[in-house]
Order: sequence, then C-alpha cells, then structure tokens
Amino acid sequence: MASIFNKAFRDSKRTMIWLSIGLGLYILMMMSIYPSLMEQADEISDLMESYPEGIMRMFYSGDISEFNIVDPGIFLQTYVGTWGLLILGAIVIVQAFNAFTNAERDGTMDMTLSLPVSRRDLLVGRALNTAVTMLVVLAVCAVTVIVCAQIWPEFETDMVRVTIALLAGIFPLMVVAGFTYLLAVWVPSSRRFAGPIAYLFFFGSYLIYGLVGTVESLHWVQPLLLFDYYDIGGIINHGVDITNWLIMAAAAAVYFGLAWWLVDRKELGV
Amino acid sequence: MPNGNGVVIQTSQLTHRYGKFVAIKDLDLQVKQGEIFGFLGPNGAGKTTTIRTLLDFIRPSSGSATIFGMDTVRDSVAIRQRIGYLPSELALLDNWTGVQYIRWLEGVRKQRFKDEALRLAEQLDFDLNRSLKGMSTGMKRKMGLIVALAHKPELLILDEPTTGLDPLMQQVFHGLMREVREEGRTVFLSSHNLPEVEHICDRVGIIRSGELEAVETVAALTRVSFRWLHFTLAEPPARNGFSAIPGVTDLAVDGAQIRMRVSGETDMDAVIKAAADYTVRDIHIEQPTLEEIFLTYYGKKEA
Repeated sequence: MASIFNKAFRDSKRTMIWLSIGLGLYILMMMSIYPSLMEQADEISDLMESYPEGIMRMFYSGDISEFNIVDPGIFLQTYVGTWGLLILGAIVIVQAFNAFTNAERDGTMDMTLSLPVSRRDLLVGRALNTAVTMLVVLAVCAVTVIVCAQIWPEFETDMVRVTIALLAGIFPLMVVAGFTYLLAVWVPSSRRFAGPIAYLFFFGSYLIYGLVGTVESLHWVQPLLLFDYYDIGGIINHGVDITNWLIMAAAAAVYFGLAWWLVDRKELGV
Repeated sequence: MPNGNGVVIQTSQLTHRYGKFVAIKDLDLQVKQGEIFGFLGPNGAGKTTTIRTLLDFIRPSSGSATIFGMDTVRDSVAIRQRIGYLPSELALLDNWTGVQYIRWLEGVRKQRFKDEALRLAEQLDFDLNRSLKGMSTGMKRKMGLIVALAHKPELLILDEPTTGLDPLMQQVFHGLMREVREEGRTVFLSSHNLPEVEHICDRVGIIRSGELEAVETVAALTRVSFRWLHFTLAEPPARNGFSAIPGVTDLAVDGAQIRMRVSGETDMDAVIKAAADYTVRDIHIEQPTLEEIFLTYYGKKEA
C-alpha cells in the first residue's frame, strides 16, 4: 500500500503544486480587496440589502439577517470557501477516476495489479494520496490567508479558527472522494456514465442546495446535501460544530467502505 | 514451489463468461515446472481471458485455477509475488525513467534486482536512463520484458511477448527464454505465431473458440504442421520432379510458378535438390494459418 501511495503522490505532485499556487494567488487577489471592502462597508451593506432575498439565500446558507460581507468569516466563506471547495472537488473526482476507470482503460491497472498488490491496497493507497494532496493544498490556502492577514491587518480574526476552518475542507472533499471512488469501482470502465454522475452529485448538489434555499417549503432538503455541513464562516464565527464533521466523516466512511468491499469483486478491464 | 506433481499451473473446468458470451469453457490445463508452455490460438480464441483469469484480473464464472498449488482468487497477491507478467497491450506507468520504474518495483516487491535489470537492458539494447514517455512500441516492449524478468520470477506469464520486437530482438528474447528454462523456471507464453512457439516451447496448448482443443509436444505439432513453398522458375517446368517426394502434396503448377504443400517431416534436402533441376528465380515460404493447422490436426479438409 505504501508503494502505491508513494507512486500516486509522486504522480500528483505537479497537480498539487500548481493547484496550491493557483489557489494561493486567487486567495491573495481576493484578500487584496478586503481593505477597500472595509472602507466602503456601509455602501456595500446598503447594496447587499437592495439584493432580492431569494438571490441572497441562493448563495448564502447562513442567516441572511447576519450577512455582512466585511465579516472575515463570511468574506472567506463567500470568496474562498465555496469556490475553493468546488475547484478541489473537481480535482478529487478526476483523481478518483484516474485511479481506477482511466487506469483500467489505458491498461496501467493491469501492470499495477500484476504486482503483489491487492486491489484494496490500491484503493487505500490512492484514496490516501487524494486525502494528503488535498490537505497540502488546504494547508497552503490557510498559510496564504495568514500571510495576507499580516499584509492587510484590516483582516482581523482568529487565525487558529481560520486554519481549522480551511483544513476542515478535507471532510466534504473526502465525501466527494468516497462517492467517486465508489462509482469508479462499481461502474465498469467501459461505461461512460460514472463521470457525469459524479459531477452531478457534486456540482448538482451545490446548485440544488442554492435552489432549495430560495424556497422555504424545500428547506428540509438542505440537510440532505453536502453543502449544508461545511461553512467556513460558521467555524470562524461560532466555532467547530463536531456534529457536522461526524456526519461528513460517516458519509465518507460508508462510501469508502462500500468501495473497499466492491473492489475485490470487480471484473477488471471489462 | 509447484504442487507435489511438479505442476505450476493447473486449471480445472475453468470457464469465464462475458454476459452470454463464453470466452473460455471448461479449460483443463496443466503446466509443469521448468517447461516453456505455448498457448496457441487465433485472435479472440480466449488466450488473454485465460491469462487474465490466472492473474485474478477477472474471476472464473465456474471452475478453478491454481498456481504453485495456491488458488488464483484467494491467494492472488502471494502468487503475483512469484510471477512476472507481460501483457499483450503493454501500458507502462510512463512518467518515469526505466531506472526509476525499477526502483519503484523493487519497493513493491521488497526485493533488489536492479543489477539483473541492467543486465537485461544491456542484452535488449535498452537505455534504462531514458524516460519511458514517448517511447516506441518496440522499446516499451523491451521495458516490459525487463519488468517481467528482472526479479527472476519462478513463473513467467507472457501474452504475445514478441509483438513489436524486431527480428534481432526476437532472437535475444528466445535466448532469454532458454536461460529461464535452464534455471528450472517456468514460462507460460501465449502466441498466434506458430514458428515462434515451435522454436522455443516444449509443449503447446491449442485453444480455439474458448475451448482447449489439444495439448501436444512441439515434436507432435511439428509432425502435423506444414509449409507452403512457392518457387518462381525461369521458365515453365518441362516435367515435375517434386510429386514423388514424400510429404509433398497439393502441388500446383501455373506457368513458371510452382506451389506445393510441404509437411513438417518432409526431407527438405530432397525438395531443394529437385528444385536444382530448374533455374530458380525466387523461393517463398509461407507459414500455414492457425486455421489450416487446426484443420490438418483434426484430419479435415483444409480450407
């Protein structure tokens, strides 16, 4: 398993480095506008209040009455949390399909599994690589925010909570990873529908989450969706909600557990 | 270790179905320690499916298989520690150099074999320091052979191993296989190339439409095998000096062209001496198709 992880991690290094640089620059750019947001806080607040409530609910999952874009937690959630999660989720999906479906299609899976490596070792090694890669990128994002807070001291908040909030992104990402690894293991590589299902599961649930947020009678759907359980602003402003982490960890464990069970029953290269 | 009877690979009623399509059916096969076993059959006969089942890439629909006396499904990891494999369609993890790849394999196998890899690379005229990315099919094939052979496995499973190798490298490959046999190791080699199988194998299993038609020694196969011999003469022959030679059949003369079927046991010297009566412009030897061999083997009228 260690060899599989080493190989996968080595292969992911370039993705990890460029993703870290890209997201780091994005955060730097977003943080650079924070001082001017602070300066014009009143005007922006007036502008936000003029927005239809439906639009606000679509893009902000917290209490609308508390919405204040210059609040560091809400600012990070709005400009980093949502987009960062969507970008990293897409990368996680690609990694999971590369590990199984694409490896089966291009024949590299045969070479790997002709070695004394079990299928479960392969799954665990690759999933571990996904987790480590994402943790490194999230850590770079946290470090970038901390550095930015030094450059722009107007961004004043608890940096320990910022770090925890950003690193906690690993929970939703591992839910996405678990679901996608399960699909990659379950659906034969000759079928082409696993990818769309994974992207629908992730991006679709984000859109549905926003949609049901605008319709009060459908609010009950939100707890069924991943995005209800990860809120950077919530962690920074109110502290960690362990229940959310446990729910995401349980969901990821169920998906990975099913994938672990199924991978040993899979017909490879079919 | 092989099982008590010196059998390395044993399949029993091994069957694999893809949906309704039966890829291999009731395969009973034994490969003994220290032999080079050729698995001969046309494309789509079930050779690769058999190999993929032995390697536990796919599971038997019914029946079972053992390697070194261990079950191929239950003990697949332990089995794969002791085998080397070269697939027919080789896809290397190609973002490394050959040396990096070998180092990684040493880690996976928990075994040191870089020196042997370097020796093989020298024999195969392959530079292990080059990146594997962008290599030609033939070069990747060489790397595949190094990967399969370097850890000196007790059993080699090779699927169409010489595809993409030039004739010189094919000779090197044949030499390597002889080395493996001399060391008492076993080779299971699939091919649709009869001359190659005749050249290096001890025994041959013939598979057709998923069923094992026969298992023969190469000597027995050679007896039923034949060649098509074509002579182009300077002028149409005045008489026919070939028809009396034992083993020469299906003689056809078309102007200055003579075509004949020559059995594996024919005295070729007699054929050449008969040809010496004419001015020969060209000689062409054509290998029979596997279908022709099957039909000959079963005494049916050839296609």
